[in-house]
Amino acid sequence: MKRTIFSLIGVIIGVWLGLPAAVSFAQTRPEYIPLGGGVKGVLYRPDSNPSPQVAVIIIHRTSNYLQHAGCTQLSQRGLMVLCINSRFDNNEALVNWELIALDVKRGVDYLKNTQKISKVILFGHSGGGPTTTYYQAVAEKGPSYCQGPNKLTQCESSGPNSVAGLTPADGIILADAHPGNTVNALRAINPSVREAQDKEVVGVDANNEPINPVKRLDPFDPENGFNPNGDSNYSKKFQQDYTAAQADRMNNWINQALRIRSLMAQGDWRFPDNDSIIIARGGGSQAGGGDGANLFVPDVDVFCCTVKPQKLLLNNGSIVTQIVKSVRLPNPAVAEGNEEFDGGTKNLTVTSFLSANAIRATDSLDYKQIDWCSTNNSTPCALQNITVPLLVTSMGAHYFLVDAEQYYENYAASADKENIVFAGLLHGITPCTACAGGPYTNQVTNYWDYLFNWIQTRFGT
Amino acid sequence: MKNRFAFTISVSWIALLSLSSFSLSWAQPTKLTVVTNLGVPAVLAEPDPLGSRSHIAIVTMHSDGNYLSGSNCIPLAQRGYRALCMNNQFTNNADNIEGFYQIAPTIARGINHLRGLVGASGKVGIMGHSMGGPLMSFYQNAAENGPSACRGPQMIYPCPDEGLTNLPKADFMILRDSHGGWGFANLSYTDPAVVNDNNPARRRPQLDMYDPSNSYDPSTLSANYGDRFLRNFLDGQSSRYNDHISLALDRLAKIGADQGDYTDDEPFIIPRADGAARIWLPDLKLQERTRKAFKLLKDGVPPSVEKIHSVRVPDGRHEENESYATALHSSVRRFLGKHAIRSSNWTVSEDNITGIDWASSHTSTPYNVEGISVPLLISQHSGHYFIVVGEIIYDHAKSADKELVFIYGANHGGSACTQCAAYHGLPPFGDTQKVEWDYLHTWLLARYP
Repeated sequence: MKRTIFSLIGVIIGVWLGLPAAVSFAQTRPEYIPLGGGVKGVLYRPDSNPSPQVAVIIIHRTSNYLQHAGCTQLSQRGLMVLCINSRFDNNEALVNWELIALDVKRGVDYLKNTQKISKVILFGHSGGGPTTTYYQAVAEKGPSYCQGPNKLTQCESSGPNSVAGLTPADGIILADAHPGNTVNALRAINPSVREAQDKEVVGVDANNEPINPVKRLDPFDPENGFNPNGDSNYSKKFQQDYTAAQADRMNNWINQALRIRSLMAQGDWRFPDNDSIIIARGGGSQAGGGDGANLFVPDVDVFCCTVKPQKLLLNNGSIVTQIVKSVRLPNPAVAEGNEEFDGGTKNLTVTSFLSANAIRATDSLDYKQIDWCSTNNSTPCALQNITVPLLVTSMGAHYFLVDAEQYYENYAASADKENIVFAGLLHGITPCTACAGGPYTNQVTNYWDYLFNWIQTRFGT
Repeated sequence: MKNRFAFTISVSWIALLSLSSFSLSWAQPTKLTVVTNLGVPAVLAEPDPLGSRSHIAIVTMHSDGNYLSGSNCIPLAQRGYRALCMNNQFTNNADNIEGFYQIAPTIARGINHLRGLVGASGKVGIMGHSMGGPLMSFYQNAAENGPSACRGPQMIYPCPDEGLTNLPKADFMILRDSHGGWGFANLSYTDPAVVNDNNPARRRPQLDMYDPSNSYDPSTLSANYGDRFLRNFLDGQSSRYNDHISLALDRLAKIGADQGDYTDDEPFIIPRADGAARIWLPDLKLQERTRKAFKLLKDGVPPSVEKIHSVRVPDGRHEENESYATALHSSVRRFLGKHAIRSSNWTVSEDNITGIDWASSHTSTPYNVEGISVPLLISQHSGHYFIVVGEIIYDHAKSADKELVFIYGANHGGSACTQCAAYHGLPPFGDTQKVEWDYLHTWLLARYP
């Protein structure tokens, strides 16, 4: 692994210093910026603003964000935008979470040092939420934030992987941010799989039998409230049993992974450094989670609404304050995908599981029963340590608006903070055409205008 | 996978260092543009301004390496050509590839994009370096022959039709230090000394290429294996690999009969099968030379025609054979689609490789070039070990216009192998990058004046 990292660093230095002088990058079109360490960047300069003072970084954990909508939407409005793919792009099994702060650092340093930008804003969409907030928490509090005996994995404060001395960003915008890839994994894990049924196939003598789920915990059994043709209706009792069992199965896997890690350290495991962790019906490993067993996907009344009145931006541009109910549609199709290896299985390693896909809890949906700081991939944990201006946005046709309210009401330490839901937008910041209450045809423009105005008001352009 | 990724990156690093070092007095100014409408990240390198050679364009891509730096495109643009360096949906994630047929539509988008730029009178070729060689040769085979390119009777895992009909054909193809194929690569990575996949540290010493009693010297990373050991090792490698092919086919049948762990596929992990158990890495006598004479390109002197000898260095690293990174992390379908290849009584000698059923894997370069008719340039590097593979690809190639050349002293990435020169007591190899890119230019000029 070390060799990989050093090689990657070498590449970027080589690319940046070694390109002949005769090579020029287009100035008003997107430019590829090799940031080093396997981190890819595309710089979008604003045609309308030749000397931008404010820049936005857009980054996920594994998704390709080099062409994220925000790259063009915000640069068209006069901001410089650096869209980044981390060293883990396209590969969840490769993730070693704590290192991702160093990937964000490369972007911040590039904007500050090379582009001479005075204000840098982090934009965390979806899985970018945990990424940007983790970076900022470490930048503001130092490595102590990501260390401690309660952490499943810890950051380093010395050596080549040290996260000490990060430059804090000047503001953060969250866009339908995950509470954590870790919590997503907790909420997606199907607890009806019996223990040890999801062992991997290894060796010519291996023979695994088909998985036989526990009926009383099967989220896709109609007798438990599942509707294969529409909105499911799980009883409160089933919900409670289910979400507690999800935490049990997650904790079981955590214990297995910790045991393997310990045996590896003792030299008593089949590999000295890592091994596969394959969780059947744990939701896919791709960005977005694949086909998980989250109860609130087939049943839209679960995890549906804000607790308090929150700001809701409507299609006509007006803002109302009310209890917000997601207008998302149920998706029973996940039942089929959850049984698949490709879409329904977590195909990870000990490192990627413990650092970015595991969190301790006794219930998957009750915020008070989740040990938010047992992992460094946790937006609620990070927000308690962030003081810069914070804009929390969420999409009215998805389910993270419930988490967004929690960030704003109960976790964010920023004195300048705001929470707003955008009616009818899907998780990808596109309008839901089939959702109730539409049309939402103006919402994409409304969304980016709102973000731009929030930035301009505080930081200029 | 991690090994392959690290290797790819190292190659780029070396290539870029070399780019910066050679004289650029002849080089045309170059413009790089991120192309945003291909569904994958890509960078277009063009001469600035466009010139008399700009009607010729080239798409290049690796199976899983990042090409956005443009290091494989800038030298072409500096010589007047348009070149599109593309990533694909599996960049940085080789493990998830089931077959090159999944990537073919992406390559097609690149070709169509360049055709739009060069117009009807222009020419668009494809170029593959390293594992990009098998990828691009598969693409062209499929473009010329449709899905039948990967549905032959010997194919272990026939490909689906989807995405393989009416692919735009490239006008020419260039291979640079190409692999023989992904299946062949993994067969040759597989460690036959492993007794039990769940306990790979337990080894059969008589098949252990890293056991000093079999002549391996850890201090020099070298070995001089005897004939009997070689025979047993290669038989063991073939046997272990064929056993896993049988297991995977059995699991696939179970999946199809709803008796698998999952409804579509299953994890399939083989310890010590994606790393450093290549028998020729420490033993320089293996794959040492070609059987026939070919053009050898040296910096500063006219080309010669001779039997080509590798000037590589011994590099058998046992520690790289033990990590999780050198386990093959796959699934049943991905193993069968991408990794599986049949072998029987296979041999690796000083100048040949036999016993490989190239047609059993659609990733085999020798198999794919049998279906390609456009002009083909194969440029292999004598500071690496794909000497013999290069000759095999050439021998299998159907193209009436085909050429195999060797870049003297170039390592796999293309830059001069300084280690090789020091090890063999040879003078420095000079600017091997310039030698290779200049020859590509010459080859293109001869065909498309």
